[in-house]
Amino acid sequence: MDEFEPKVIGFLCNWCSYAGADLAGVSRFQYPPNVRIIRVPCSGRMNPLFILKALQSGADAVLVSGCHPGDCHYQTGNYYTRRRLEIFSLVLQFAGIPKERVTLAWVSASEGAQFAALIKEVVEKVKPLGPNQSFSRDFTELEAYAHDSN
Amino acid sequence: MIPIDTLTEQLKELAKKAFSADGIELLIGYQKGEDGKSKPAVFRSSEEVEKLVWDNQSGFNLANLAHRFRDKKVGILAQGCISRSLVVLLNEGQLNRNQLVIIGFPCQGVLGRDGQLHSACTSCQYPDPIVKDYQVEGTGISNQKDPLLELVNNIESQSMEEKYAFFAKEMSKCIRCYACRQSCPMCYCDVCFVDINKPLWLARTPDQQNNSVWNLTRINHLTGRCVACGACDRACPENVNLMYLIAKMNKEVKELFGYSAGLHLGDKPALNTFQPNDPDFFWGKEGA
Repeated sequence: MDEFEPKVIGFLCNWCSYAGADLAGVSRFQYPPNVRIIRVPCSGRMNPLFILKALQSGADAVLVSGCHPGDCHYQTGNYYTRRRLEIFSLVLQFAGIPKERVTLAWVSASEGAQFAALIKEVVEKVKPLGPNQSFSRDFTELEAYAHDSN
Repeated sequence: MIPIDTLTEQLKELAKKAFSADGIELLIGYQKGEDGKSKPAVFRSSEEVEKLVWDNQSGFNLANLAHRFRDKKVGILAQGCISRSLVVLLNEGQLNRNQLVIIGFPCQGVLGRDGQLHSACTSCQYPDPIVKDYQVEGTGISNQKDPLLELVNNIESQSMEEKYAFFAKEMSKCIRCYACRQSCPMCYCDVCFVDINKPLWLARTPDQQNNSVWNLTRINHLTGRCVACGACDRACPENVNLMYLIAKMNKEVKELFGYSAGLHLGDKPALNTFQPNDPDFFWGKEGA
């Protein structure tokens, strides 16, 4: 069987990280093709519900990336995100979802190489965890239930 | 601690005073329901106040009702947690301090569904009201220990598999009746995200997967706003342990941002503000 290839959803801020990802492509830095990128206007747009929804819909890891603190295009968006996601990721870990599944990273528009390295690291860390089943239905249980009710 | 009867009498007296001296239009309190348990109630005159009671069954957070009478001058009974809820709502601009007459009293704790003193009350650090116009003198419940924090520390020391097993077991009990949301004074959105059809954030099926998303998002929406009154936990018909996630969230908010909700008028909620030197857990640095 082929090696497990995780699906990574990347929420990248329009002004820094998306441009950083673009730069990585233009500069022809190699990075794993596991990441699916969604562009958000600012990392401050990140509702933690997006992360849960992604994990629930079959993503194995979620990456949120924005401008470095102090560099936000809207001055303060990433500061709010940092607070919001810090508590959120700690609660997620408390619920038993490994911290490798949710990553927050700062990547600026000039950091193409760092972006490639970031994706490599996220994918490498998630691979040994295997597919994300934290939010997936236990089909065996459902089938048993369906069987019983018949 | 004051005997419950004396406390009720004093509350009635202060409530009557609030009607005559402060001109409140209605008072939010408790009265005995048909089953003999105390229920939240609205009193519209000082004669009706005779029916007012407070006992250890009065576990509903009255701040929840204060929203509904925003345009009226309202009196409200408040011990520690209800007054803290009111402070959060005042800080968020949901209530007007001039329209509120707060009758404070020291709390003796309320019972959970199992008939024992509720876990939020045995861990309560603030039995006395934070804001008040009237106050019943006396001392409330005092706790040396914090059992909820001990539970949190205990679970933190477990492995990821054990944490997940505990979480999954609790979540599989949930039937998503949203009693936790309805009983929460902080859940005042006109349209909750679970009631939105487009986009459908959350499927309606109450399975463990969807329940997890609901409960984690609820915790997320309460971050830096929850006063850990435990009303959600007491309202839960399936006895899901809601307090353990809330206790963890409140602990982290306090440790990371040095903030506890509802202790000072004029505070900004923890997630509504920031410090440039907030702890950073970004890529490359170790998270907790």
